[in-house]
Amino acid sequence: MSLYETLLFFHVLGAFSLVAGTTAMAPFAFGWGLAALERMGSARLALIGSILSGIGAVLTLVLGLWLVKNVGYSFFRFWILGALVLWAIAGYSNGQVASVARSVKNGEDGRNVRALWIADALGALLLLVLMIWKPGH
Amino acid sequence: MTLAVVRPDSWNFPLFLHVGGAMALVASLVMALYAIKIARERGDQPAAEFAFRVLWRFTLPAFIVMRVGAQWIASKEKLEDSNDAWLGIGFTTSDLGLVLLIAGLILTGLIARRAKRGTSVAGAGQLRAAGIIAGLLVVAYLVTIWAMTTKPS
Repeated sequence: MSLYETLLFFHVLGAFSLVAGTTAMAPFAFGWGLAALERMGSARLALIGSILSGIGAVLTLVLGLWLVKNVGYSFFRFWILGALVLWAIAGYSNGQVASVARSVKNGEDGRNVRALWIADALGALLLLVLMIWKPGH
Repeated sequence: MTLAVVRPDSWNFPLFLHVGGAMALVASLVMALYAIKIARERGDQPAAEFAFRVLWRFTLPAFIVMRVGAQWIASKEKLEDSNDAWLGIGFTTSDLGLVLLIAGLILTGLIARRAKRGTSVAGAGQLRAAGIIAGLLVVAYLVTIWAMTTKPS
């Protein structure tokens, strides 16, 4: 495997991990499957999701920037700068949902995190759109 | 330095469907693994039904989107008759994956029906088998991601 292929594999793997983590937080944010998971179980699943998202976020960002350099793209393209902004929005929202899940796990009442989860998921979706269409490339 | 390949615009939407579907598929399997674990521990009706519903309402639709996207993009790229190893890996894991997914659906569906009758399904062998299937699918799809990104010939 060339360096480019290795970077691309782990970059894409990171994106899959990020999406899996965000998805795992959905039952906590929306109260899905509450009869099965109970509030504590969904908070635990959300925390597992936050770990997956965290690993994914680091892999996508670090290896993504490395790929930009490796391929020889200019950093100042709309799709790259846009991806960085979306990454920050998704990362912040994800961290907030994880922090509420942690407080619920510790026995506190959690606030409503639906809007935060939607911001996180939309950020991830738009990141994929930017990576495929590459507007402004 | 590697030169990036710029693909025609008409390939973007099928590729988006394929990759987006694949991401949702893997994400749903991660959730299914957790749901099956909870169902094995608790063994009651809500937990067993939740495990089945994750596979039925989330994993199966995601699989269909991923597979339709795969066929569409392969047709756009005129790769349907290609003998490349990475395509072979993709189609094999996809087709065998569907068989395994159906097996998982049947197992969790039967267990959910048994739990509905009031029988505890805690520690049931079928749930263990469904968990192993979901785990195998995750591993198979990780290998597929490797094949799709590195494209071994």
